Amino acid sequence: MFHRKSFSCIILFLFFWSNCTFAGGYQVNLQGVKQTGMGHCGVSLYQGPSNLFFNPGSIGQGSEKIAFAAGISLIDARLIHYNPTVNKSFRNNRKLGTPIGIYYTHKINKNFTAGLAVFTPFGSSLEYEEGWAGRYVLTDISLGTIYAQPTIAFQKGPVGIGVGIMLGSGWLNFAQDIPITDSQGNVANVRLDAKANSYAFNLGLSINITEGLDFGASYRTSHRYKVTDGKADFTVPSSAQEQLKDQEFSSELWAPANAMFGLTLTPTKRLVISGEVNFTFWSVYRDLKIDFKENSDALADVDEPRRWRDSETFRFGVQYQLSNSVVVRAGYSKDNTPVNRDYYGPETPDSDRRGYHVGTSVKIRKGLKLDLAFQLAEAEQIEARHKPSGFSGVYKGRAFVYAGGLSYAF
Amino acid sequence: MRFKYLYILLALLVVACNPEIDREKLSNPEEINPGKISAEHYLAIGDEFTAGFHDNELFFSGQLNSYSSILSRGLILFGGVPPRIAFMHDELGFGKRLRLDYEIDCNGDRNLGLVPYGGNPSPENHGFFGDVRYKHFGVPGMCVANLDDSDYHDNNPYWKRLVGENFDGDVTEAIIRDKPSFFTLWLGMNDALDWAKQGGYNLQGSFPFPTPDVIFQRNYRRMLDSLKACGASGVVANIPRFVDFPFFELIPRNALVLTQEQADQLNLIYTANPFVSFKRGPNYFVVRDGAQVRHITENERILLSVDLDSVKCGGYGSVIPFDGPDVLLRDEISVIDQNINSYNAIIDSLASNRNFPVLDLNSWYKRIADEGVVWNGVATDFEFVTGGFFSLDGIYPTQRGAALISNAFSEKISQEFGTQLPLTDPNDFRGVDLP
Repeated sequence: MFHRKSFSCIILFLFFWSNCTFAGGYQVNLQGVKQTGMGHCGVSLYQGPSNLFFNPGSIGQGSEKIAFAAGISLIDARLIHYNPTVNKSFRNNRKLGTPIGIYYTHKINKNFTAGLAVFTPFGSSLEYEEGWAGRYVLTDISLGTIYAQPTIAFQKGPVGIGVGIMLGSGWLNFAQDIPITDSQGNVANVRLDAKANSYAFNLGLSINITEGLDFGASYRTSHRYKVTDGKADFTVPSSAQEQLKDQEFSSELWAPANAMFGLTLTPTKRLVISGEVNFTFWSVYRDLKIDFKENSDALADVDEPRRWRDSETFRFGVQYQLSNSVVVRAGYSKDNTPVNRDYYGPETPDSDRRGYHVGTSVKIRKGLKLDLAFQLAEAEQIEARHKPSGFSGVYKGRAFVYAGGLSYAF
Repeated sequence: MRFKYLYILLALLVVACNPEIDREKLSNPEEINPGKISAEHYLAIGDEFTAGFHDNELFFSGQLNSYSSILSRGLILFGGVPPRIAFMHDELGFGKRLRLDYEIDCNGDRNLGLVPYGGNPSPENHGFFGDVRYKHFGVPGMCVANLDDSDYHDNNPYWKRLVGENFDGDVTEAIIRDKPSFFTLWLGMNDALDWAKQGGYNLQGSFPFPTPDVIFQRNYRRMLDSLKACGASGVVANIPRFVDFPFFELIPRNALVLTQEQADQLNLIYTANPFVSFKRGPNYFVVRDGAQVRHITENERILLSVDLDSVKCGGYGSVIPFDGPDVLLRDEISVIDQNINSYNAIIDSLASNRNFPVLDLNSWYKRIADEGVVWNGVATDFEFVTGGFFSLDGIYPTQRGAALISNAFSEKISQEFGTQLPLTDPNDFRGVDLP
C-alpha cells in the first residue's frame, strides 16, 4: 500500500524545513499531525510522543516502551492587502512553510518516561509581491525558531507530571525598501539579519479524573531572544553610504508564555471528544526595538509600539475509530488575534482565525502508522493601521495546511 | 493509479482559491462615482508646475508624471480622455536639466553639487506639436499677465511649440478653444516668481514685474468667465509662498564661518562702515542694499543660483558684498508677499463669485513645510534633496511631489463634487536620485 520511494521523500522533507506565518501572531501550532486533524487539541488527550510538545505530563500514558513520531506540515498561506486610498490590492508571494515536529519517548520504568522533541513553534515567513504599497515598511520577513526539548515525566496512577527544557535557536531576516534612488533609479534597501538562542520550560500535568474523562494542563514559559550582533546590510547609492553604513545592531524579541487547559471525554471505546482553551501571553510584545550601532541623521533607532494583548484560543475536536486500522478525526479552532489595530505591522498580518480540521491515521503494519491531516484556516478581514509609518489598509488571509507524518511504537 | 491522487493533491494546492476582500464589510466602501463632474474633456491650465517641469527642465518623464497628468489618468475612470501633452522627445528637453553629483570646488574639496545632466537633446524638442484638439496647457513660463498676449509665441518657446506661430487669437482664446468640460487652473506663480528668481533686481523698468493687481485681476477674470461660458466645472488653486522654497531658503544667511584672523582682516576692510563687523565663528554675509552695505538678516534670502565658488574662494558675500540678483532683501520680500496675498485674494473672490472651488495650496505647502507628510512609510518634507518633495531646482516638485499635489486636487474634487476619485501612491513616483 505504501511505496518505499515515497517514504524516502518524506524523510528528505523533514530536513528541508523552514517556517511560516500561521496561528495567532508568530506562533505556529503545527506540532503534531494527529492534533492538527482535530483542532490542535492535545493537552488533555494522549496521542503518542507528540504530546512532548502539547503536554509533557502526559507522555507516561503510553503503553509502549519506545515511541517515535515525526511529521511535517506544508502551509500554503495566502494573504491579500487592500489599500483603500489608492484602491489597489496586493498579495503575498506564495511559498510553502514547513514546520516540523520530531518526537521520541522512552519508558524508563513503571513511573518514569523520558523524551526528546525537536519542533518549530514560532515562525513567520512572508514576502509581499513586488512593488506593493507597504514596501517602505516591509518587503519580506522570515523569522524562525527550532527547539530541542529533553523531557522527563512521572506517572503515578491517574496523575502524570512532566517537565521539559526547551533549548531554542532563532533567526530573523527582515528587509525593507528605503525611499532613495540611485542615478539609475534603483531603489535602496536594507536587510537585517539576526540569530540568537534562548531557553524555556514546558511544564505539564495530566489527570485521569474518572474512567472516560481526562484533564490536562500545560504551561510553556515566556522567553526572550536577545540579539547583540545582528547585521544590517544597506544597499544604497554611494553618496548615502556615509549616512547608512553596513553595521551591527541589537534587538530583542519575546516568545510568549502559553497556558493550556483541556478536557477529554471518551464516551465509548471508539469515540473521543476533546476541548481546550489556550492562553497566549502576547502582551510581552509591546515594542519593536532595533538599536543601530552607528546612528546618523538618516538612521535613527527603531522604537515602534506594537502593544499586543494576551489572546485566547478555543479548540474542539473529535476522533473516531473506524476500524482496527483506521482512525478519523475532525476539529474546529477559533484563534483570537493578539495584534493591535492601531500598531498593525505588515510583518505579522494577523486577525481572528477559524480553523476547520480533518485528519486520519492508518495502520500500515504493527506499530507503524501513517498520519495525515488537513486544515483550512480563515483569517477574518481586518482594517488596521500602522501609526508610525502612516500605513493602513485591509488584510485578509487564508491558509491551507497539509500535514503528514509517521508514528512508530514498539 | 497511486500518482493520480498525488496529482489531485497538487491540483488542489495550486487551484485552491485565494482570499478576496469583502468590500461590503469595509468601513468606508468606496464605489467609483463621478459625482457632479463631467470628466470627458479635462483641461489642465497652468505654468511649469502644471507642465511637470522639474530639475530645471521640461522633459518626457516629468511631463508624464506632472500633477495634472496623474490627475487626468485618475479621471479616465469617469470616461475622461487625458489631455494631449506636447511631449519632449527625450529626458533632456531644451538641455538645462540638472543632476546631483560630486564636483571638485575651488578649494579642491569634493562635494555633492548640482551639475548639468549632460547628453544631447533632440532637436525635435523645439518642433511644433501640431494642430490637435484638447491639448494640455501646462506652459512653462506662463503668467496671468500673458493671458491676453496675441504674440506670445515670440516670447515663449514652450508656447510656440504648443500652438505654432499662426494661431489667430490671444492666449486665453487658444486655451479655451476646445471647450473643456472640466478644468484645473493653477496659474499666477510666475507673476511674482520670475521677478523673485532674479533677486527682484532691475526688472522694474521695461517689464512690469511683478504683475500689477489690476492686470492680474482683469486677465484672471476673463479666463474664469470664458471657462464658465463653456459650462465647465473645475478647481482653481492659489499661490504658495515660494520664498520658503529651498531655492530661496537653502543657503544659510550666516554660513560665513571665520577664524579670528579672517575676522580681523575683514574688519579692517570695513573700518569705515558702522553696520558691518565680523567675529570668530559664523557670521552673516554682507550684502549691498542700495547705497548701503550691511549684513544680511535671517529673514532675507540668498538665492541658490549664487556662484558658490565665488562665495567660497572669491570673497563674495564678505570682501565683496552680495549684489542684487543673488539676494532677496526685506523690501523685495515684502513686495513678493504683498503680491502673493493680493493675487490670492483676487483668485479667492473671483472664483467664489463663479462657484469655482479654490484649492488652498498656499496652506497645503505650509503644512508640508511645517509637518511634512508620511505616506506608507515614506516621509516627505521641504528638506532639499532628502525631503523628496523638491526637485534639484529647489522650486518645482519632484514626480513624487507632483503625485502629492495631484492627491490634494483629487481630495478637493471629491470633497466639492462628490467624486470618488482614488488617490495615487506617491511612493510609486521618483523623488531625487542620488549618485
